[in-house]
Amino acid sequence: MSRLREDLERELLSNPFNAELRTEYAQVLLDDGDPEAALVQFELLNSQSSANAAAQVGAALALLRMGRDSEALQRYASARNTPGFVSDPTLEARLEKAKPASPARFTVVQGGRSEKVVNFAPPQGRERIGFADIAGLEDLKRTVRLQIIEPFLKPGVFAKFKKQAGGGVLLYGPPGCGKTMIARAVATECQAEFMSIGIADVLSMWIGESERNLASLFDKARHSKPCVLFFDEIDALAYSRSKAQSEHTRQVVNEFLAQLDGFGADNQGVLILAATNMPWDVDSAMKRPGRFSRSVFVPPPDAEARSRIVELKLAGVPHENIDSRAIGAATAHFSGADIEGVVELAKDYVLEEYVSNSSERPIRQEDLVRAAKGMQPTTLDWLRTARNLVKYAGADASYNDVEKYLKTHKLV
Amino acid sequence: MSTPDDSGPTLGALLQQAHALIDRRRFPHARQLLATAAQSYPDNPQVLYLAAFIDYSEGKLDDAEKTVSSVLLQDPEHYGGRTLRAELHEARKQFAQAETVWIELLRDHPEDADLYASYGELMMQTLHLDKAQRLMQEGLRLEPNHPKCLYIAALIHIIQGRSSDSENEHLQRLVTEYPERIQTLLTLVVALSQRGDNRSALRVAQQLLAMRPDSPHYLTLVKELKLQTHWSLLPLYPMQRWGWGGAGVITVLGIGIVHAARSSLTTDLASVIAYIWLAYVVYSWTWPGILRRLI
Amino acid sequence: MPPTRTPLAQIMDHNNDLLRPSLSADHNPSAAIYSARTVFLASFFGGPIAGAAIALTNAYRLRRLATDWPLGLIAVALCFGLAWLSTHHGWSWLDAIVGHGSALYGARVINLIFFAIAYAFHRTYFKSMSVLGITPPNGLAVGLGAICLGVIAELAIGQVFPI
Repeated sequence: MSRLREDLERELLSNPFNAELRTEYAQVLLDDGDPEAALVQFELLNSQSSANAAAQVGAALALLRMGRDSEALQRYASARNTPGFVSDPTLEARLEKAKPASPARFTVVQGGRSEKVVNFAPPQGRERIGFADIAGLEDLKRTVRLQIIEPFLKPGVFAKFKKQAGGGVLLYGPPGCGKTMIARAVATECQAEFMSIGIADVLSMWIGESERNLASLFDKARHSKPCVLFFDEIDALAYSRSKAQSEHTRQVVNEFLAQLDGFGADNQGVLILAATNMPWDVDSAMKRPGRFSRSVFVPPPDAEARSRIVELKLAGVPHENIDSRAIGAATAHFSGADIEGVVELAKDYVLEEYVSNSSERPIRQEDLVRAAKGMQPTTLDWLRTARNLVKYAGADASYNDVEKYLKTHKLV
Repeated sequence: MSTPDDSGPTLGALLQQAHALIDRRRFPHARQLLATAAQSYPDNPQVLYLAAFIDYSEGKLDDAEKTVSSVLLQDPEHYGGRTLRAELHEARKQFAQAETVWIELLRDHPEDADLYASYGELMMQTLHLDKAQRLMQEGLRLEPNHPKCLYIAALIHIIQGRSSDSENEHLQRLVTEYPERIQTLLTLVVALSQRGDNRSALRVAQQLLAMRPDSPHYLTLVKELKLQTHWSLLPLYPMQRWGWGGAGVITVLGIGIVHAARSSLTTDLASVIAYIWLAYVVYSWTWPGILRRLI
Repeated sequence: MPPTRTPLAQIMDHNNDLLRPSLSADHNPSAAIYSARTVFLASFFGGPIAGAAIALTNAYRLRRLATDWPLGLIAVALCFGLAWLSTHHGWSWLDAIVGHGSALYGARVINLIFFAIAYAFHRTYFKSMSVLGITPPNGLAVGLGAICLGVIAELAIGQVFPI
């Protein structure tokens, strides 16, 4: 070990957040012929700052020296989109020679086997949900239209203004607030097919199949253009590698990242969305440019949306003199699922009365008010956790929307 | 691994998937899967063990204990069941019983670095630091980069205060090999705050909280470090940096200054200085507690 | 999963000492002892005997009475020493420096010196609690009791050296 390496290690111990120092240390490791250790340092730099082009190029070089050529080239290709990118002659030459990512890479699984393992047939005949079907949340719809739909439909216009297009979008927020519904509405607005993938679809029951399933689904998406590829509960699929205990979990994440990077080179007509209740569990590499670099916070439904949900849930159910706006106002922070719970509880009160008194009556305002008072919104736990993140953990810019929401509702 | 047939997944496949879900802390989903497995394989020790592990992870110690007993009834040598039993004893502060289990396991698996790490951790928690250190040496001899052994060895080094952080070889290796792991970040927080660098410790603790924002322990850690780095506690820096030694020096200095003032200055001025000193003493004892409630 | 077994003989010779139990139902030391602050306050206000009461309670909790008992001896010696100094003008040299009332300052300094000795005995354990995040038990009741004991002891010792 050179003396310089020891000195740098000592200095890093007292100054762990110095990016220049760590970059220098990683470079020394690479020059010393220790690409594995260098890769660890470059990955750490990338996780500390998603726009560190030098670290991404460094990681690509380390991967090249480790003989992982295709990963190296994919990493180098995605680094090109990062501000401050400086080309490396070795990698440039390799990239020139290398074949571009082709559909052949994704058709690893041949024959009908993959069809049995994962069924990605688009939901034919299923009711298409559009933005018109989602009550309230006008601010969110506006954000989604600007950040997701319009860049997908008119990429040329956005490119003219040098606005970053491509890559995926991460929808995050408390459970039961309509992230999946928003994703479906996006597919409708984009006039695209909707492919939804959950953890059960990918975490296969057999060793080694997870990677094949991932390759297969990307292949299917490519052949179903225009298509919205939606990863639900992405925190389970791309679980933070620094928290994972098992090597298999890390391998799945590595494969997912590699597929995203390769896919990014040829993804016209495919929009990748993901949703999670726990954005802090998603591997930080997922949020780099070319992957899920954009995040959209899906808040609990606003008062207008809540009153509309009440009306929808009461449709076809005997009720009278219901002021849905008042119920909406009385159920602050309730998720859609919570509101449904309120209506169900109100039904229980009426039915209980019927069973004890044999007096049948419709649901009234006071039933709903009583039910609302008897329930706690399930979003509060999530909002408390988000508050810890925003107030104490020095959360990065991707949580700006949450911070704004918490401040508006005086939760922080 | 057997290949699937059309009658459904094999036990091995179900267990693999349960493992994957548990690793991702998807406990309700894992429970469902294990319930499915238990229908076909009701007394399978591995199924029972994973169910017990989920109970333990969720803090349901009594349920976990009952299930672990069933595991060991089916298979007294079950590795996972025995380690979980030891962990349950520790969770209930039954340290002697936990030690017995760890020692039995080590006699059966003398080359398992994980077991040395776990036993060493128990010894550290019961303040048998020399023995904990020797156990870590053994664990690292078997597996030189075992993360838990490095973590415990680094903590012992800090506790014993034998030398500076830069000479804490275990901490260096943790930071080099596993820079983003929770154990590494925790050790770094401890090392930085023990040498008085609370600002750096706060940044690392915030990183921890960002990884686990629902953890009350990390939240408390960040709040405490925010308190320690608050501008209004700056006059207490000598105590923060040098502990009781710093407090002793400040006390002697303060008394000395008051006396010097009494003998060389006017009575009024000497009184002012005495009151300032008194106010400083009162501030040092009371303000941190008040600030803790405000942050 | 556990590794493959290897012949035990070589490993066992090496590990015999490591695998000897250190804990038992009788020898189950508590990791949580009264804080350094409790020892300090008891020593400062109640004298060496009060400080020793807390320190020896800690030693008992750590199952270290056999090694830490000299603390009691030191405390008693210091108390007798203080009483002797008070009655034999032992502080007259300090009067010249700090003026009237030096005996009180001198006594406080002796109390702090005893605290430093008691802290040194258990420094590793205090540091362990700090590093491992172990909360010390509430020392209010035991501290007040120790201070009362210390005051009573000093009064009794004062009878040996009447002014």
